[in-house]
Amino acid sequence: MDSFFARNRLSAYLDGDLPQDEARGVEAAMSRDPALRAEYEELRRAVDFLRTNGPIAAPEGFANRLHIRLAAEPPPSRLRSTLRRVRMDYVGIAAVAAVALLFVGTRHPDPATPAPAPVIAAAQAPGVPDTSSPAAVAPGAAIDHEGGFAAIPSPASPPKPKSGASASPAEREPFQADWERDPPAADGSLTTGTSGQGATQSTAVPTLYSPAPWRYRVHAGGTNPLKDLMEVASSLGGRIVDGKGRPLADYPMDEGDSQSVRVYVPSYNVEALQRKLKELGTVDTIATDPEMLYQNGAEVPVSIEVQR
Amino acid sequence: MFLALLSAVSFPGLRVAGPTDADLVDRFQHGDRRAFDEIVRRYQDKVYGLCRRWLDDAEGAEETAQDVFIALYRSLPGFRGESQLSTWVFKVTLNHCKNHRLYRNRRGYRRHETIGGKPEEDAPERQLADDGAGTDSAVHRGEAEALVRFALAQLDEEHRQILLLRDVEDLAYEEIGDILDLPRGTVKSRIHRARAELAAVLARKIGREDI
Repeated sequence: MDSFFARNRLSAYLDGDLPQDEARGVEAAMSRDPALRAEYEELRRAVDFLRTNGPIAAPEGFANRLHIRLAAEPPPSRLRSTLRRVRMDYVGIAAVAAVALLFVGTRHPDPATPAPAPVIAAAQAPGVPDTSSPAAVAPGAAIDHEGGFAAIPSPASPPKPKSGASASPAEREPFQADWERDPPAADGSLTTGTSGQGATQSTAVPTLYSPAPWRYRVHAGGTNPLKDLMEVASSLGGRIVDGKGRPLADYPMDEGDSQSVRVYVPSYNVEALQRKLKELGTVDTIATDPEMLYQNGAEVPVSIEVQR
Repeated sequence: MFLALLSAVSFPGLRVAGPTDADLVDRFQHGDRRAFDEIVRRYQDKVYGLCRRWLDDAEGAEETAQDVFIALYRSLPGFRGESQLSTWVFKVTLNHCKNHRLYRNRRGYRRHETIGGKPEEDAPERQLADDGAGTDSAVHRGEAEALVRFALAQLDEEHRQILLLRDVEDLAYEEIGDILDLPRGTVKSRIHRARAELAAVLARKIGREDI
């Protein structure tokens, strides 16, 4: 074995992790090459130094202080623990299934009936095509009321706002998700927006009702990322609701918890929201349709799954 | 009682094993809260030590380490034993450390810059060499501690993480691979590079012969 190969095995040799023949090869190379021997000795001393001085014992009273905190904990429960680990993905599957059932159960028998408003699925689930992803859906397409794909209105014909006259409430009713039928209270009205960062003031921002083209999964730090997200939404003139459109109360999240939320921001602040999300944590899924960012300053729903 | 005593004492030539981690988990899952005390006793130094080295902040390390045990306490009833308890503990600890650091970085905490950016305040310049003796005899504990902190602060995060698991926590390649979701070969090569970087940092700081 020459010095090059031996050099790459010094660490494994130090750990005794080499097969016998390779270990002998390293020893032979070191006996031939003093520089390699010196390199090995330097490596060994560095590792010894770290092994000797690296470990730190817990401070005195650590366990006692922990017990005080544990005393405030409810008794451990397998059910609670299991529920805590139920991933929101599966909740998402159930939600998507429920929406699909709703489609099947309320499908209009008369093809001449005007098309009702599109529905936004409550959450994205694994295995379900991501309608926000260019890979899953052709650009410019959205789920229509029949569950198929329909063209998103071009920029020249912006999407219909909720308050528009596209369909009467009675016609839309069967096709609307719970959160859409039962909007938050007036102070968080679906059709009211406030000023955003660097944005113009608007008192009546129409809500853009089409499948949200923006979905993010944010791996956030801290104990209360929802609170942080609320501050972000607020700073952008937006608001945050849960998967059903209800106002969301923040709560400390445990490690591994996730929560699906929807943030409504004026469309001109969606890009700012992207940036803020990156500051909040690691964003590992971004699906955007930039063409829709600038449509009439409409209020845009952005689906976010916050994971801690 | 007698068994408990036996488990705490080892005689030459006769090794009496204490309860395994799996035993403790099983007891805890059947309502024995004292089993959790034993888990804390068994892992508190490792968890705290990892937090302390990762965060380089005693207060934050204790808070994070306690959060880790609280999370374990809550989650242990649902632990299915698909991995070793130790793997799970270290995984949770690393996640908590990363989250804690993200949290404090967002709030402008930059202690690590003090360590790396102003080494002269923390690490002894050439003091080890000046003693003219080997590390074991010459380095005072405080100086060695400062040097460890300095050296770890110089490493990139991947290297620091893997060295803490391998050379401080003394974990096997396989367990490190499970914790970091890395194949064994990657673990080995990364350890090799991390150690080489550590050796270079120490050599620059105190001289090759004085490590």
